[in-house]
Amino acid sequence: MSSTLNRRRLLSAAGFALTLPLLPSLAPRGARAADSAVKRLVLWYQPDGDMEDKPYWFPKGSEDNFQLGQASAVLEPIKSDCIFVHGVHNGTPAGDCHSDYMPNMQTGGTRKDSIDQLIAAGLRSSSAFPSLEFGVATDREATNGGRLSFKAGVPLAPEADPNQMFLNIFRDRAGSAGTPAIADPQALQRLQLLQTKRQSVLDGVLVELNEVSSRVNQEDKLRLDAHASAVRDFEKTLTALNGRMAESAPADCGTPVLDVSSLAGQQVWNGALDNQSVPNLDKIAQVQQDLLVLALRCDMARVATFMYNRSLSSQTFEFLPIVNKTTISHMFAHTWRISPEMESDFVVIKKWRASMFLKLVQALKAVNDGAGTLLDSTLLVWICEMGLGSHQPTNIPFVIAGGGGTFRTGRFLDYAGSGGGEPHMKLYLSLAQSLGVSLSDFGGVSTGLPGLT
Amino acid sequence: MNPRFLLSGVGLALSLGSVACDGYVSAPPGQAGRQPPGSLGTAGSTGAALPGVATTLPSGCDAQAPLRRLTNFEYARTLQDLFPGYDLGQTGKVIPGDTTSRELIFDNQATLQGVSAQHVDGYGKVAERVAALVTVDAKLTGCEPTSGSDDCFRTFLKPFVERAFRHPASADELARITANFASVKATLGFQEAERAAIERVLQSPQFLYRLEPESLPTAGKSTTLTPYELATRLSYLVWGSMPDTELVAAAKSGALAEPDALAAQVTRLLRDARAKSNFDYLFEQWLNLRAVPNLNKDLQRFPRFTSEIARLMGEETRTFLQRTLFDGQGGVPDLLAANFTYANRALADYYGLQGPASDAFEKVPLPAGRTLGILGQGAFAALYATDKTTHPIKRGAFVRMRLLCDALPSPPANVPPAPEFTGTETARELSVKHRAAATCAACHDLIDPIGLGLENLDAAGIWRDTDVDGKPVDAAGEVLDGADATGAFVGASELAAKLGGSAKVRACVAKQLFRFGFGRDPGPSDQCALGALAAPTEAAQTLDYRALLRRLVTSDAFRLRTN
Repeated sequence: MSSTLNRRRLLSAAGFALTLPLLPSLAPRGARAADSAVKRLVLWYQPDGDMEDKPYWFPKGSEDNFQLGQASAVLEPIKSDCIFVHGVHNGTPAGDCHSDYMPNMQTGGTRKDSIDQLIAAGLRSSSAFPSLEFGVATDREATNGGRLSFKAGVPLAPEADPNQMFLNIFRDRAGSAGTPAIADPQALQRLQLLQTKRQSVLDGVLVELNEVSSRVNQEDKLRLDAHASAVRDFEKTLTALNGRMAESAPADCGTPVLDVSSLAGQQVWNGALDNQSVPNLDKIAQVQQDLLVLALRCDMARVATFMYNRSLSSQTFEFLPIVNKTTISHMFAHTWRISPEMESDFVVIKKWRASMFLKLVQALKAVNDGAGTLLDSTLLVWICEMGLGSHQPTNIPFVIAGGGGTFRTGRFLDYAGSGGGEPHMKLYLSLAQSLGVSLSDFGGVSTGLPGLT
Repeated sequence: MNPRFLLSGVGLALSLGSVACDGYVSAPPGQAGRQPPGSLGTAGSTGAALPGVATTLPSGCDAQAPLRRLTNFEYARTLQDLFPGYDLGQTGKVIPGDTTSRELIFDNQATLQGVSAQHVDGYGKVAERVAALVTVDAKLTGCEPTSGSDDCFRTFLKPFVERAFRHPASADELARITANFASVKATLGFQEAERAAIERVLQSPQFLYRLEPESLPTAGKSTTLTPYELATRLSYLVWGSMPDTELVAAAKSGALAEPDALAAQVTRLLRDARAKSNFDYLFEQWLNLRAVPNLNKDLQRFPRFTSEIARLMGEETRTFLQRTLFDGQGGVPDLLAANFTYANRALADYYGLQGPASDAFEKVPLPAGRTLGILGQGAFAALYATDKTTHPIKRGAFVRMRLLCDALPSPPANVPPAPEFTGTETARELSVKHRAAATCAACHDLIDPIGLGLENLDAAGIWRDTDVDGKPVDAAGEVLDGADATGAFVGASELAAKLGGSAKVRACVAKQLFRFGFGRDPGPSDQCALGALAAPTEAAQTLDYRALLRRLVTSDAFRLRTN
């Protein structure tokens, strides 16, 4: 069967039909031996900060000898893979906690390029996509609190529908078997011709953009030129994908398939409208995390963001064993103190969030990459735009995982004592530096976080 | 400098003249005299600019027109109108959602319409899907799918491009697309070549943006739009979609420049179902109605609040807005002065109102003394609440930002955490505690006392006389620093009356329509257009959105553009 037919079948079946387990044994072909340095960055976001004056999240103890909190104890199995950070705050101008914290934090206050995009641009990797933006119950429409990636001031949209995300990443390769990715020479040739057609259409679009941009005023010209620049960016991705199709020994990830059996019979989320709650959040999250691992394993991108909900989220948690099943995420953050049930419910929610982080770390560890694992070659950072849930920019509960020794893990780093803590820009600069991307300045800061390595 | 730019600026119009032989008898920008100056002289029109002749508008009367990209809403509708009879599915879902901000609440604001590679990818995907769909047979193109001739393709291309680009196609435009067609045909055959042409058109800026290059004046000057540009502005304002055949014909014949013909077109467009749904879209963004059907309430406290009730509450407000603001059964003042709402039996039962006997929504009177307009409706009261308690801050902020058009400042850096509900104290007690800190009071004095005056409406949208502490509801409130709406009041009806009679609210209604209509925030140079929209009239009670639209369409800001 040609891959085109496969792809159609996948589409027509709404992605429910094809399932294959993600076997680690399929993975190691993509390894670049002797290249054990960290080369990937994943920013993983959950909203609502921490319940700081309670012993739920931040560890107690010294740098090397510490006990996790009640909720963070979920991460006990991967404690040695993680650095738990306390005393780092959002160091950019505060502004409105929901619409300004996030874009300011991620862009260092410029509102232009977020740290993930700066790093993606600096890596200049051979992966097909400069970055991938995953969402779980994220909004279709962009408000400032609902996006964490920005490129040239344009918010990047996380894709919340696993089916759509899968097709976005793997395109014509989706569901195709064998190595090379597309074995049938005739099918391959036709797909390549179609890719050529896509390129020629986009080249034509560039001609039209250029033509009309000479007939508008200067402000409008800047916008049309930015559009042209986005077309050229996407053409690079298409070229890379086209090359992948013909590779006889691609960064092999087996047969890219999307396992959505857990979603059978359920609504597959296609992006929340205006901050809507998604009933099967947990199941969609798992499929999206599997897809993230698959994308990294196949080296489709070196930088990814993974966003759960958003600031000011209306998500409810009826899938968890809690009392207040109609209470929204944002109100838990504000009013967890009003009753013992609210408080214990919020801890259950925090534990669930930690369990999803745990699963992601374990999944990355289960995939070989060169001499180590995918976790070794990836820096996975749990981020949040605020600290205390209602709604301080201080003490953001960052967790750094992986990196294969880039930073010494298994530690608790507490910066709270050193002159009011450290701004998060230092942490972000350290991430860039560790990936070999030298940023001279991020948000007015030019040095990394001390003591991290 | 592009010669076309210069020519249109001095009114020579040679650029459009070149396409007249293609069948369009255009009314080029330089054809002076077609429209008598000042003939549309209502609502602030200065009539200062002749078509295509650059002029300077008086201070406060500019017509700035930043480039606008089709919103996802407009994009989907435009595709559907471009390919009538095809089931295109939900075309907007693979394109990143539009961007809004705290102040720019509509999804069509030019300054927030940047394009990323994700947009390029999405537009390409939709174009490929649509092109594949419409080229499986000869219905649209008139050409045999796989064995069509080049002549057949050219015959299809020109009218298609003119509809898609919303202007007469230039020979150059057609030649560029045809060259692309030829090169793809050489490798992939006729059908893929035809698809490539359609895909290119659907991703071209002439389709994705509302370009107005022919009327571009020199910097600091203003000119009248060409008839095609005017037709496009009109159809996107009223329908959120491309002009139809009749509107294009009116542009082509030059009739659109005549005030009577323009007015007749507005009337015709307003009668179409697309107008109704377009303004439903305005209302849902302005009043934040999209989230209403998804509301949840604590079942212990509000056992009768079901997802069906939430859905009906959304329906109630949409119906109310359509009937009073669009169907000729009321006017803008009813927004806050109505002593009635719209409900069906289930919703009326929920509210404890007498009336409807069926599932159909009908006009239902409110009990005496409850003249509340939208402030009494569940869509407002239940949305701006938690699942358990009322939320005077959210209610006050809504009134402040959406009805009074005040931009609330962000909290200062390092404010202390707000006190949290204990669950037993009233919202008023909590608010008083919160505002004891001066840093908090600075803003919350502007917000909370408005919301506290609405405490008779519980978190699930039901009227109550008793508060959570078992005592009668204290609904004393105050609007601080609200121009002519300033002052103390007691209860929702007094607040509604205060707001309903306020010129500041009327100006805000005008401002929201301006934002929606022009895709930008008005500034000091837009006072003419805003003043015309906000002007009180003798027939205030019947001033609805149809009347407001006529004011807007006949304003200089709509018919001209300033560079």
